[in-house]
Amino acid sequence: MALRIGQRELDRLTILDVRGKLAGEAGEALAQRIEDLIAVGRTRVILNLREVSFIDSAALGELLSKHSALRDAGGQLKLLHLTDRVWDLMVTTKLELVFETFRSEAEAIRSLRSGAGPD
Amino acid sequence: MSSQAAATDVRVLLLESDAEHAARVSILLEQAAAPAFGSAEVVSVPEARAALAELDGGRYDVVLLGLSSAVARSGAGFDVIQQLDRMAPVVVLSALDDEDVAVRAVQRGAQDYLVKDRLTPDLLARSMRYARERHRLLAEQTRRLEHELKIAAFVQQSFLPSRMPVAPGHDIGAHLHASGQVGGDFYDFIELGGDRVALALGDASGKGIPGAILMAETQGVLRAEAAGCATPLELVRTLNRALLHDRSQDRFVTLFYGVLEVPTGEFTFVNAGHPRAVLQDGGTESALKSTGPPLRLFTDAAWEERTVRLRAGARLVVYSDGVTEAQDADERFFDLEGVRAVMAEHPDCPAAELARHICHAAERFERGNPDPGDDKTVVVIRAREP
Repeated sequence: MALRIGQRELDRLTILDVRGKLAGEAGEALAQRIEDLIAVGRTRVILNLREVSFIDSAALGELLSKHSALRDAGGQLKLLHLTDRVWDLMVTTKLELVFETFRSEAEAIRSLRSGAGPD
Repeated sequence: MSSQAAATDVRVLLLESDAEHAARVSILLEQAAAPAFGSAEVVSVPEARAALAELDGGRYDVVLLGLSSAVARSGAGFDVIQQLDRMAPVVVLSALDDEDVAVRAVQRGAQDYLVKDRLTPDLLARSMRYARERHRLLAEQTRRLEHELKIAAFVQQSFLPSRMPVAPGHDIGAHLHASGQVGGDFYDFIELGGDRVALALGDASGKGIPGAILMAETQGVLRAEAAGCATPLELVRTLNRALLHDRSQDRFVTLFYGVLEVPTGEFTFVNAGHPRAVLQDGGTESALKSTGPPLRLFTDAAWEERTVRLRAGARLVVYSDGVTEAQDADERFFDLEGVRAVMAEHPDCPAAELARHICHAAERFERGNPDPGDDKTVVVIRAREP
């Protein structure tokens, strides 16, 4: 299934609703989308992963790299609505300690608004 | 334009459903050919199937693909470009003057996109000459790349251990199924001396060449350092430091690394972000879960070491995520259940065979899925009954 990325904007905050499998080239497509956001200064990003059935290791690497890129650009990346399988991957790789994950969109938004520092 | 005429004759396949257009292009070709190529032989066919059959039967220097406005606009004629391009360079002659459509045609493999109303003999001749030259260069590059990939795959195969380690009382086997020509999975066994055998199964993230290079680097360091490290934990820390020398944080290695004390069956491991291994002992099963993050992500990470005992009759199965994440056409996963099912089906089979059975079952499982699967690696240790 091809990857689809919906984009919602709330003030300076961007929510990407991702749908499909984050594997192979799909991971690169998502990374590119985040790069595009950084390029226009939209560096507070929530990835809604409710419709993501699976993330492979290459895509996970891309997410890590964009997590750092957003932070370097003064922003933040938060993950929302992880499916059981994706959560399992986070636990296995211990990356649940690196990515901030949320079960509620309101909480993710609140956290981004309060914690993103001045810009 | 056509002052220095090349003396070679050209064979042109003209695929054009409109007879009037076909006749016009043939006349243009005659005018173009005399100064540019010497002589041109033109075979005209009205539809794609005939064109493919014609290409199959004989050598053509170039295909001129005529598209009506409607076909060009719908993009329906573009599928055939890819098929034709495998056999000869394709130049599209389109009734539609649209830059976006032209770009799409070129993305699908066309060498050039010419608008029918503006064709001149010179333009056609030059476009055909360039198309042939580019197509030839591309084919040569592709051949060279494929040749190099084959060599890379061969080199990578040679990294795998050529024989199983000596471990009396234990039956050890492994199987690796590569999804592409080169991959990121590897396994290794190292006899450490003092009745100790190390087992490693790793997965470098990223497919193709980047994954393969990271895999090779990991395995190289692992082999060099394993014997000098007193514990699996020390090895994992050493390996992590070595791999971290460049800090591009987008690639990492998951690694299951354990050391078997052959006389006692004691098995001490670190699972660095790798899928859980399965230990079945009689009726009980335990999961050898991740005890820390993958390698090459953090300078300091708190990996933990765990020890289990492989009692007589016990089977330890370690695998890469390509096995459990194999997906069928309905996007169901092979999962740990799939691994367990194969283990149950083959309760007494030798380690190497069980490893192969598991890989093959996962591979069969994903056959209906059009997405390419990942590498699949399985390592099995059976502690023999005395």
